[in-house]
Amino acid sequence: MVHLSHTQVKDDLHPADSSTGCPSMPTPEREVKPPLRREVGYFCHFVLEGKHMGGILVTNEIGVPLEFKYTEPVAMNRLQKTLYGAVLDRYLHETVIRDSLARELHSDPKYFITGFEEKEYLGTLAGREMIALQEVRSASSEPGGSFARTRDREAVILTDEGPGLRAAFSTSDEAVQQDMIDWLQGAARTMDLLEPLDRVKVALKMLIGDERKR
Amino acid sequence: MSYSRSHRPAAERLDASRTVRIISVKPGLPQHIPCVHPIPIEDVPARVSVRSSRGEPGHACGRERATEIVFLAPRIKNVELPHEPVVFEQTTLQGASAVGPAAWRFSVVTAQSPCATAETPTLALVPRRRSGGQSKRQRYDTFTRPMPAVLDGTDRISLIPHRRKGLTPRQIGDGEIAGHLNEARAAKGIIPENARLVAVFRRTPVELVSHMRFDESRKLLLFKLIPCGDLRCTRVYDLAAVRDLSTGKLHLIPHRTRYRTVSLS
Repeated sequence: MVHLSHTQVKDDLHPADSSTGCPSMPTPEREVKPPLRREVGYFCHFVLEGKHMGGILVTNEIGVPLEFKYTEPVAMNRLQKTLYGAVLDRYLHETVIRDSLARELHSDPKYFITGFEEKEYLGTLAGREMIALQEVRSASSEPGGSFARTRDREAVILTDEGPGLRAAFSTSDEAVQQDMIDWLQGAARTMDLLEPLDRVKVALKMLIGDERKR
Repeated sequence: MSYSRSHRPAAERLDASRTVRIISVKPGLPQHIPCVHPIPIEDVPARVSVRSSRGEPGHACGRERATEIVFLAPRIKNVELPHEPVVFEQTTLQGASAVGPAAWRFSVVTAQSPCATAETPTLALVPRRRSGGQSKRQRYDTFTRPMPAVLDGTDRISLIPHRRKGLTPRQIGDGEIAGHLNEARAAKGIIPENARLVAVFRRTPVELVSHMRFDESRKLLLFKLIPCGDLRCTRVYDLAAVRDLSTGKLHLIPHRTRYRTVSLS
């Protein structure tokens, strides 16, 4: 979006081509603002009968799907479980499912939302930070604020007329966290933030059912 | 984890006479072989099933993120990636020269090996040469998880309805309840004394709804939206479910002043 400001820059230089026809007239300062990205990204890791599947959904500001990518089901055998041991879950979540999906994603949402059960595996997805969300019934904030930090990487966020949200962040950088909170509150004004996650789960269940029929 | 070549299971042993090597198009490689449709190496799964030129099933294995893929199959015909077939113009054959280049077109059937199962346990064992090239004493990694194929399901998920959970009158203020009942009178002519607010649904894009269903017992609103297409903005309303006690009929009424305008991406 190009925004024309009426403030004049002190000691502004004249335009080289003098196309205005009036060389002494200072040109208005042209301030280019980055476009607001309101696309919302969702990531869901789903396990059914030992098969792991992952899905990424990108929606617009009202929850309409713009892009949905999912992986084929992945199952691990006994040998693999023995070899990978304790790191198997992390490897599956982060490398096998999430990184595979990130490589195929074309949209570019600012952040990705995931279910709160995924908070142990938070990281970056396609270079974007992730937020694990859960609805809370009674939420209280810091005095004069719209959120309350509960831990280093967790906070309870209040939304306009909506439910409170318990959030876990993939980063401990407070500036980024604040930006995430602002982004969440902005998105929550126009859509139900958690509802698309349910749709992704339904879609993955449907797809895994189709896989079984084949 | 790795082990020497002699300790590997027989099924996984690399047999030079049955090994075909495809070199991807990459500048600077000693063996530069042009492909009709060069494919990024990441697109080729580590472990694949193949069919020979005689239609016999075989197993093949490849290295991820390497510059070459090594397939194990006697007579491989075509390479087929998930959606588009790719035919290699030339390949090299190591150790055997009886078969001409025309017979060495590859078919990689990724759908047959999404994961290791009880029937195909050896799919989990993907021999992989170690990076750095140990030519004299070649060792192999025993286990590489093939990356799953990623598919597009945007059309499928668009069919799933949006689900909105309603707020009960207890969860909203008296002023807002009165406002919704007044809207019911203005829109449907329901007298507030004869009306009961059942639920309120926040941020409902009423203008784009194509199908709508209200589940009163669970206070759930299910709706489908039309494709936004070139639409630049819309409004999301607070939608009230109001029951007319005189007729018993349920009405869904958007509040004319409780809305937000959303500019769409």
